[in-house]
Amino acid sequence: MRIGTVLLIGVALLLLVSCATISRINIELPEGFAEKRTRPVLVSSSYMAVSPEGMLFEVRSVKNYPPQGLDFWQEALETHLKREGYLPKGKEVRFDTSREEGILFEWTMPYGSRNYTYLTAIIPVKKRILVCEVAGESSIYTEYREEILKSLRSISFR
Amino acid sequence: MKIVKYLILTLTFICSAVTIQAESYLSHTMRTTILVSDPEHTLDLISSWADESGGYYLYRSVNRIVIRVQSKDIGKLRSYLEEISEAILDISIETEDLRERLVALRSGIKSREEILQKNLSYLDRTDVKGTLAIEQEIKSLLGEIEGLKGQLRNLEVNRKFATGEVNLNFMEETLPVDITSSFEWINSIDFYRFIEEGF
Repeated sequence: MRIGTVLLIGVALLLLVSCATISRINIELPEGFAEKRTRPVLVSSSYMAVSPEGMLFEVRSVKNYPPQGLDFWQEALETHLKREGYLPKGKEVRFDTSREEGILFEWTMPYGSRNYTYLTAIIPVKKRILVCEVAGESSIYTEYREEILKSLRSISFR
Repeated sequence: MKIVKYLILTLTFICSAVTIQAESYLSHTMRTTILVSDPEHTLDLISSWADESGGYYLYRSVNRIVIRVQSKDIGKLRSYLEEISEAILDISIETEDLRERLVALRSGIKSREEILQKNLSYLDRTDVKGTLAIEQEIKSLLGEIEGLKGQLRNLEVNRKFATGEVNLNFMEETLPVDITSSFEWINSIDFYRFIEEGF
């Protein structure tokens, strides 16, 4: 009985410690989007939302390895996607969140018989990089663009 | 003295250039195919540019636009297309001297108007049968004159406005190739994966 209680308390403590150490993404939902949870909220290190038209919005965190800053990752991502044949739609945009600086690229992509816009944004935060992806039909994307940028600027990570 | 002579020569040259510009009888048509990443946005840009340059657009579809711009701006259209497109794939400029056609139309109108006047003057001096025949002739002449005047107006518009026919090609008809990056997380950035797994 005593051993069982001790074990239970131990497991509970372990869970608490785990939850406290897992970093979480805080973000203001882009207006008009509905949050789509893919993982239990306590251990979530990704965030997903969807617009009524089906436009997807996802933020997740990846390991900043090798540890580098925004300039390095900007060049690495841009070079890679261009090599793959992604076509940039305008110039990259630098933006500020409350604590960090990020950069976003917009790409024009053919999907079915329509043109889609694919946004890729990165925000290096110490040992992690927040990666944001948004994709939707170009005309719909244009309608939500300002809201998406506003949402990106609201991101914090702890 | 020499300076004055040069000044006069320069002024004469400028005046001639202005006269040539004002009296231009040339009609320009530019046909081009450009490579773009976002056809819809490019069409908006081209039609706005035409509006701002004092022109207008005649026709617009998903991958083609026909605009009219002032003849003097046809060179600017080319520069603008270079600026907004990925590449100009094909371009041709046709120039037609309209003088001969204008002269032929004007003289055609003039001669028909003279005949019309003569026919009108015969009306008072003829009987009912003759009047009916002359009226028929007058009706036909009026129709011809209107048709020729329409052609003349069209040529005058062509003198003033050049035509730009722009066809748009969308670059990415083939899907991007999958290249492996040295950085693991970058390999997870993929539009098609994202859009297909997202639902």
